[in-house]
Amino acid sequence: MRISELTKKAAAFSGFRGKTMRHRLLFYTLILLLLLGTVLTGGIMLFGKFSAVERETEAMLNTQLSIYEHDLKIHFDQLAARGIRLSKELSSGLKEYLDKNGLHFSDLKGNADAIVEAQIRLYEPLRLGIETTDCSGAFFMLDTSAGREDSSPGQSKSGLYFKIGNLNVGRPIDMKLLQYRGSTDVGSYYGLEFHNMWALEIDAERFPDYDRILEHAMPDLNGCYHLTDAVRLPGTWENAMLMCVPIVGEDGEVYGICGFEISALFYKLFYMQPGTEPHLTGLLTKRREDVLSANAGLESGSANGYFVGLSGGLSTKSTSRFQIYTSAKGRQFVGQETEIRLAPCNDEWTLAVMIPKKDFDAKKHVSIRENLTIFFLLILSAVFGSMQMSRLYVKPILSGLSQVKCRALGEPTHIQEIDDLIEYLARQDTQEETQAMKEQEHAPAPFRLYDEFLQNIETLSPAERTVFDLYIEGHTAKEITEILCLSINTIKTHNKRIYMKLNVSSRNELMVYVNMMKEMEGAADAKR
Amino acid sequence: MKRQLTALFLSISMLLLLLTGCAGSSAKLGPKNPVTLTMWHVFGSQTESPMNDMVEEFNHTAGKEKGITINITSVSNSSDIHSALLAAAKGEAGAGSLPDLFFCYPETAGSIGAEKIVVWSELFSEGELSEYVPSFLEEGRVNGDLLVLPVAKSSEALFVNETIFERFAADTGAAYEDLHTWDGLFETAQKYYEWSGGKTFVMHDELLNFVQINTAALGGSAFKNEKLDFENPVFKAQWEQAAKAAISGALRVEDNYETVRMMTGDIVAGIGSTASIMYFQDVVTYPDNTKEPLVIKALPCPVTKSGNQMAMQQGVGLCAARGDEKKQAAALFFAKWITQGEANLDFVTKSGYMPVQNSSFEAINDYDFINESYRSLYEAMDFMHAEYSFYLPPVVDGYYDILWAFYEGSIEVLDECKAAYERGEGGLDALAERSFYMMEEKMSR
Repeated sequence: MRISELTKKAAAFSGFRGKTMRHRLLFYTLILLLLLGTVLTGGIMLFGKFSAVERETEAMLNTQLSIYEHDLKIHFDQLAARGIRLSKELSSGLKEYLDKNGLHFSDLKGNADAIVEAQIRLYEPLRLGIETTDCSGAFFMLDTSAGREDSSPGQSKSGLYFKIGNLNVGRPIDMKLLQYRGSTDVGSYYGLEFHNMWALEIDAERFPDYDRILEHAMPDLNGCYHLTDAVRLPGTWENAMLMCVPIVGEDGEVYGICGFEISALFYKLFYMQPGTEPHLTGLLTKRREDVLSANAGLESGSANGYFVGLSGGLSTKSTSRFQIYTSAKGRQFVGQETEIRLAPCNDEWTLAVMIPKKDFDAKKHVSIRENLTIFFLLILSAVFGSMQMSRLYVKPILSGLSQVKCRALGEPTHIQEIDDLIEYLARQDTQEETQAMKEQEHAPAPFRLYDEFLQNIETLSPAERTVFDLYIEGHTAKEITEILCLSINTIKTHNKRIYMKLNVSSRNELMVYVNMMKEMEGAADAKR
Repeated sequence: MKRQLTALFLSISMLLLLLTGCAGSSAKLGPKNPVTLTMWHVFGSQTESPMNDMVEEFNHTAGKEKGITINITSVSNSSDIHSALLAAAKGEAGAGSLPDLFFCYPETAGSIGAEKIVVWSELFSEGELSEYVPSFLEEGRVNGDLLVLPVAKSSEALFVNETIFERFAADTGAAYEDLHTWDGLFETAQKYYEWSGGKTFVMHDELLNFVQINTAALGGSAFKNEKLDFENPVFKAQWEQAAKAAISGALRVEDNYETVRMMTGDIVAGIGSTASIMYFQDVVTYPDNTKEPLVIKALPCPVTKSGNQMAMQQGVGLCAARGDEKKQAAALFFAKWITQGEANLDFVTKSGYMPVQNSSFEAINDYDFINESYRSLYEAMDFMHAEYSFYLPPVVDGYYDILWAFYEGSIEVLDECKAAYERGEGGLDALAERSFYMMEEKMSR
């Protein structure tokens, strides 16, 4: 037996008369909406809309990285160019001084007075260098010392080093120079303040890559400038990178090193990243296998003032879209990076931009929450809308059917099919009525007479009606006398009046009408 | 039934939208609602910047719990920060914007204006403010508004290079006790000048402090009608005392801090802020690059022979720029953290300052100091706290302009008079008096 047959039998057994129109409409509407929802979801998944956060973050990081890289390359290129110019000016200035005083470079060793004079002379190019270069300080150190060998161990080098003391934007307009290294006579001569951690000479042992820079020195300075890792400046709390250029004489003699300082504070101020991302961090540093060394580099934050202050190593894990960085303290970041070469005598640097992973996760959670909210709102709207719609749609139909049922033809339903049906039924009713009237007019006499008979019954007196009802029950005249305790003559009198009022001529004729009455009542009962 | 269903539908929709949407900014501090404050401070240029250390500690502890990060974007000194802040407050080209937190003197805060700076007394309760040393709070009021919250106050002290002084004392019988008064100090300085063959003994970072404190100690005031009172004979006498020392070569006057000259061996003693202790290295380096240990002994600031014992009360305080509710709440949280309890004690004892709450002064006596130099400084400060009264500079419009002009003027005038003295163009008394009138003329411009 088929399911549909089973269903019908079950419905018949339970008395279930089938679904209402409204339920059927609701059901089909929901099916339709579910189908649409599935197609929509499938389409969204196909076009990757659910991974919008990943894509947008990847695009944002790539954009920030390319801008950062662009700015950095220009800046450090300029640092190198100005460092080369400074080196040449110092070289020619020093040579001029030595020639004027009939000295060789080696004569400066232990000659404090000559060194002071040389430093006073060489201050101007240094000052000009700081004022025209995006840096936090400038220096030169000569491969000599004011002290004699016994008082000045081999690695103490004479030089000048000035730092900008009032950084609060990338380049302050009114720079205040503090003398960090060099003879105090230079500071006094030019009316400069001393750095609170001033010392006379530079300790080459603590100067990053000093020997390596001198080793690679050549007359073509474009081939031998060097950017050091970020180091702690001796006696201070500051880290700084130094763009170093050898100072080379015309005859190829290497006099020393000069260059510019990029302190951590300067870098932080100069490279604040604008953008919509509130917690962006930029890092210029060295990669050592899987670890980015925050200590070897410099860090910048966001233009809104956000700054993390990374330290130690950041272990790196690559995904299809990002690098995931984890600090020693367990903080995680999502970012992008690129390799960048900033000096010919250096390994490549790594430039990275990143945002806290919890920011990224929060965005994803928000996105998921929004998607789920939209989904639930859609479901709710679908269900509620379907219920309302089905009710509104079906309501006039039901109203129309009700009218049809009761044959109570009121206002039109304004639903074409139903109004047509009502009109049709109304016409049918009219036709039937007309037909009935016609049939009644041309109806056989008995039917017309029958109607008269029925009407005349109402004219019988109570006594006559009693007798008549007994005839309807099928009693004879003799039985009626016994039932009513009346004489036969009385009954005959009643009969005469009954025949006269009902317009019958005999008892037989009366019984014909009575039988017709019984048949009509039986038919009416059966219909009910 | 219909209405109930509609109401239910609308309620659920609203609830879903609320759960999704409302992640907007609220003033409540917490790790999920992070806030960054930029800061300019003046506690730098030393091996370990105590303020940098405090900020780092805050960022990793109390600040982390509240989602507050402080980002230091300038480290300078108290004189440079004044012009930088004013330029930023006025929005001058190239000046940057006013940071969320900064340290400055009350005059700077007054120039910036209460409309741009948080009034601390509106955020602290009266009970909380009563914990602070009253004169420290008073110094931070501008037109009655507490704009500058005391974080650490300094005074002046006499720092002596123990190594050189003891060599000198062994030869001449000089003693540390001689240095308690100005008269004794200048006499010792003359002795040293002779002993060393013409070297300067002492340097004072701020001659106007010397003049105005001593004038006040002797019952007068160096100021009249918001200007320096050159008519005041006591003021004149104090100036001439310093001028004689400077002209004779016993007192060094130049555009520099005494700490630097101590480190070059050019002086043996210096009068400067108690916070100078942070700036000393542990070696003296001579021009031929020879070095010897620098051991500092801190002594109370010298006083007048007669008159009250007085010393300067000074030090920048903390201001917060007006901002949104969240930033102000964060600024208040940091202000309370750095000025109270262990954090404040930790900061002041590493930086040569006095704590700012009454209860902290008792605790400081048992504190573990970095070295003996710091211990001697806190003994000196303790002595001054017990025996001296603190002098507050007058609330005068343009006070720091006067201070700066006096500083520059005194260097120029005394240099000139010293040169004249060396050329034999007059005696000490006459040149000292001449320098006074030269100063009067300069300051009248």
